[in-house]
Amino acid sequence: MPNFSIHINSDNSVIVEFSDDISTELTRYILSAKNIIEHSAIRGFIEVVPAYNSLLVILEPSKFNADQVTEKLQTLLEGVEPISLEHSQKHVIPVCYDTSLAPDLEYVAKHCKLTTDQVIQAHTNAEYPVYMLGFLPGFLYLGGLDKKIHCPRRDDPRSRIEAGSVGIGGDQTGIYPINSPGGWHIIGKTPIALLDISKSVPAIAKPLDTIQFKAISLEEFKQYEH
Amino acid sequence: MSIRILKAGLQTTIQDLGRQKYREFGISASGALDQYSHQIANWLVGNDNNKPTLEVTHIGPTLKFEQDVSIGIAGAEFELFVNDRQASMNTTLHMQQGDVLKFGKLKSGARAYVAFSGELKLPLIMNSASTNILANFGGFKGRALNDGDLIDLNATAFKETRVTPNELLKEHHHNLQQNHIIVRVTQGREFEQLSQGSRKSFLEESFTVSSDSNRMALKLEEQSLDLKDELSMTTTAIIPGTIQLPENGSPIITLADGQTTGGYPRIAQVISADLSLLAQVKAHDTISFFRVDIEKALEALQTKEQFIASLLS
Repeated sequence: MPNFSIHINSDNSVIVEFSDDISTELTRYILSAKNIIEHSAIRGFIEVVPAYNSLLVILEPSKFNADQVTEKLQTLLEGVEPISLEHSQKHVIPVCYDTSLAPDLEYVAKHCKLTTDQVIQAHTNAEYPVYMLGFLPGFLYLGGLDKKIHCPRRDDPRSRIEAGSVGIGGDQTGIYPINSPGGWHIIGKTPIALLDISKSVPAIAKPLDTIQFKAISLEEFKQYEH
Repeated sequence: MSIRILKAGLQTTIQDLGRQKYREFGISASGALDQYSHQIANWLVGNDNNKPTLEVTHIGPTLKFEQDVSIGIAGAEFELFVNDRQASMNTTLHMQQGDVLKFGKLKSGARAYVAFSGELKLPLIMNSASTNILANFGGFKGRALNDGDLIDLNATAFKETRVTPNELLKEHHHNLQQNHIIVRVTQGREFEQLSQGSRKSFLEESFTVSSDSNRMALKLEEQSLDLKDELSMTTTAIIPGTIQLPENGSPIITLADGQTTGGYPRIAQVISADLSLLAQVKAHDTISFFRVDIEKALEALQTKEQFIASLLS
């Protein structure tokens, strides 16, 4: 188990922090720790939320005992083995990069001194690991964006970006799962839904899955809509 | 049978105690922002605490009852009319078929809760009837109510007439009439990273609630806080009550609909006992923060819960 420390975060939560750099290797430990915590019958336990290099353990405040929880977590987490990757899946997500759905594709190309085709190629070539979910319902935090197509966020965030829009913001790429305001450059759109509230796992992917984008034409995009 | 929404009001949503265990998918809890008033409203009609209520915001709705039903209204002080005759909050109101309940002027606070004897027929999504306005699911069609909506209700008779104990009202409304609340906080993970002056300012000055606030977050106007040194933050999970400090120096307090993750320094955390107070401030009201330790925070919650339990029995 990598080095970790446990801190009281509030009167109903403690946070486990890892000092290692963000990596899928670290995420394997974090998810393993999450499983162990979920099955450990901590008094008043509600849920545990994993992030890049931390885990937030949320409990009922009326049953919260900071010292007990800290001690219990300390014992539970020693000697944790990284989670197996056998349940990790690769998801291929169709994206239409047609300029009618990609208002910022040309800007990004210009900024990166590439052609739009080269941006699309760089964006579809990589296989992006999912590190965590958050920000919006079903939003996937992805790693591994090609340096060639890093591009600082827009100075003037849009007040509404449509669900399915695919963007680049700084060194990150991602998909807006619902309509939302946002500051990323929109370079395409996927016709598939990222959030399905009827499912017990309402998101399309989980941490340690990977995402690859596949370019589709505007005609193909429209076929999905029917 | 049903409740007809003649006028929806500014933002009237269905809320219960919220949905748990979905934060890892980026789905926040939602639920009544003022859970104590939600609880009182339900108590007035003999309901369990987790029954959905209508959360009424700033401008209340006008409702027509197409059947007999008892209702209870608690929270922010509104003028209230039943068939144009003045009526009271904080007591069981026995409505008859055809009665019209109208919310009038808001006198103090920001949000009130309307509970009904019986079952509102709403689908449970992820074990909750709460509306997630942002993602458009839960509650009534995933949105705030509109004029003309009809909510199905399976009413059951509630014969008692209950009145919210005065002590409880006093406790809850203590701060609201002054348009200023004092909120107790515990230290956030990055509190020590604030500059010395900012640590002092945060705990000694008042902050003004921005009109840009909503069920996701209370934004504060003053741009008065800064950090000792530049800080490189990695996104972590946050919860309702987390106070973050974005680059512009104006603190943001996460509420029930707020993002599940955040990447700004976490300077403080509102204690569980005081979260409901945050539901009752409006734009231009002021907030000051009083620091306590975790033991005091838990003690405050215990005292509050015991007090409520002893009065609502």
